Amino acid sequence: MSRTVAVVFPAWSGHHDNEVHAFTAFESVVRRVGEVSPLVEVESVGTMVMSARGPTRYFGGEDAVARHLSDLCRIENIPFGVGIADGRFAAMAAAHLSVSRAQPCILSSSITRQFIDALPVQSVGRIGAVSPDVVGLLQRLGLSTCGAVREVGEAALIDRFGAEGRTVWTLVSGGEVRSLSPGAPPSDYAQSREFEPPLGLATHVVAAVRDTVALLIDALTAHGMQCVRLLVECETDHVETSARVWGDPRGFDTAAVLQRITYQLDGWLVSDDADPDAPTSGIVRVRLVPLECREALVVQPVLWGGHEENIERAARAATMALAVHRDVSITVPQWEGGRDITQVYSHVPLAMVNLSNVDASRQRVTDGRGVARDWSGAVPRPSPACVFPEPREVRVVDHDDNPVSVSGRHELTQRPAFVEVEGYRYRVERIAGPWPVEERWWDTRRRRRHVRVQMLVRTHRHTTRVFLLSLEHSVWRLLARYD
Amino acid sequence: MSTVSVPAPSDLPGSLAPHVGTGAVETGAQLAERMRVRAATGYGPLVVPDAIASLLPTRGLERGAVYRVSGDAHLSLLYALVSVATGTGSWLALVNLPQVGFLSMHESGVALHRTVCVDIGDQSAWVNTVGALVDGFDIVAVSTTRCSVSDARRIVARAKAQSSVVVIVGDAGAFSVDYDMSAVTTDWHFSTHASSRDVRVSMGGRRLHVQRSCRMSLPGAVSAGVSP
Repeated sequence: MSRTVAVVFPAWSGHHDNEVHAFTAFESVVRRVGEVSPLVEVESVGTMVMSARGPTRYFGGEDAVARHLSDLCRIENIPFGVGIADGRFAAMAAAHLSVSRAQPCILSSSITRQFIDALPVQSVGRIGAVSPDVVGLLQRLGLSTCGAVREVGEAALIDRFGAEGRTVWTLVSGGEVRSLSPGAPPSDYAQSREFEPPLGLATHVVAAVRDTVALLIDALTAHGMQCVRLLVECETDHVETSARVWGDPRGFDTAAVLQRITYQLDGWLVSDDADPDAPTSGIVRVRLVPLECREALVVQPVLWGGHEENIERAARAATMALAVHRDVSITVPQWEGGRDITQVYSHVPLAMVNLSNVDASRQRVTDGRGVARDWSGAVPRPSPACVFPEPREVRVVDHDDNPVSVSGRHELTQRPAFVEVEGYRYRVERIAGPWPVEERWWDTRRRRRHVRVQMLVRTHRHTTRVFLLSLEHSVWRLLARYD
Repeated sequence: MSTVSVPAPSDLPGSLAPHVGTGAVETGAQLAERMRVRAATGYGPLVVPDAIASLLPTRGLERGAVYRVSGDAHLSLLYALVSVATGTGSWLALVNLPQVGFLSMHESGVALHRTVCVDIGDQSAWVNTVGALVDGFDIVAVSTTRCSVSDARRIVARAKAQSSVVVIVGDAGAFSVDYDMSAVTTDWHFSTHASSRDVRVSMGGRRLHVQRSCRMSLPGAVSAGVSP
């Protein structure tokens, strides 16, 4: 089993902040690490894997490599972890462990076996990309560690879970999943595309290579293969190149490849004078070389024959719309849950998701097993149709114009008579609530205490509306309106 | 009266142009026939919940048409209009509508996994972006329509060519609206909380000869069976 180095940035891999393009920052780290080892493989944003053999010899020992990598990755207090172990799975797990310890984690070959046995079974899902259903079932069966799963035996796992069971077995027994059916595909699958004039924006390049990527993926699919590692080379007019190996344990489809090209170019194609590596011209050539393929066993869209035509149309239109202007942003909703009506769904940038993956899309909007009403203290149904992203401050007063507040026992101090929203005065007719929320009262830093009140108000035109207001730190805000 | 020679509408059965000469008024029977032919080609109107279908002359959202929703219950009406269509495979783009309540959409039966939100920061990019979206999304809901009359016409022409539906939320601006829908709350049922309400949806617009209206309960016009 070959020694492997893994570097993870949990802050970038889990959450997708809209404000900072995580991959722009990540790309600069990858480029720096690329100087240590030319074959850095990026699985997703926030995760790098490379072979330990070359760098260890060059720097003289694994300790030195780990220390050097830590120096390269340290930027702006973003937590990261460096792990070195036998095989990809153990190295990734070691890197995650190293995040909490804030120092590199190096496992010698003799203890890698025990290390994997002690890992919780969830790490098979988180690191090994095994589906949550399988991991959940393993947990419910009482197999909480990888060691327990290994003792079940290969035959039983494959018998129960099929191809996925085999992946689980390979992971927990310390094998390399990628070598399921290894073999470099023939070189004639490589595709390249040239642009004249050069393209200066990542979105334009992505829109232009869509057909080329589709051609490559279709050719592989026609031979019953799926690409799991792909080399993407981009070249500018001034012969500056950016080459990156991308990996996806589930196999690439067109949208996934385009997403990776976006990551790669968005971080590179920045007109930053301070960055000596920034290209001085636009992209003239993109070359795609599949490095490793496997038989199309697992992924359903390939197995069940194509996906909906509508998805392709929508995805293409969204890519084109993004290419129109820098200020256009496209997001998709993602379920977060909770009592706060403004945060039940968050916005995830389109670049972070794969629209063609129907199952993942469904899971994205319904994940979190329950719905809002199952949360104690959630606003009752029906939910408001109009939720203000930035709630406005309003005034709530009683008949004598005294401000209304809430007592320590969550009772209104006066009876609200009027609500003033941006100069308009509404007469309050009915009230529901107050519904108090005390969140994380045990945590001094993050605790939050607020109440919500639903009010049926009459406008000056004698129509009725329903408002949802919140009171926090003695400030009333208009959270939502039942439009 | 001299007739202006217009380019003949495409002879495909699914063509979106009305098969009537200039100046003629299409009768209800002709419309029904045109819709039947089009539905047979798979490009029929987008399905809407039964409660609203009775209002719409084509019993669904006509592809290539411009709708407008207004009134104090306009967002609930929008969700109800798109719920069944998104549940059966159509994609929805919400342009410059940051205030939509996803939870409410989910409860109305809208398939959120076929919904994307587009935010156009720069007004100068509005026309091109919406034009690009109309090419691929079956329903494009827009607000703040700050564009010229010619740009609006160009977008509508593109929507017709790609058989998508444009829904304008609020002020129509330069768009010439085919079907204008307004949802006004008549009564809120407010006991322990705001539990349901009655809405009067009225419909006008240049493609309707008579104003129609109906009463329904919003949200709640949709059976909650459509799961995202």
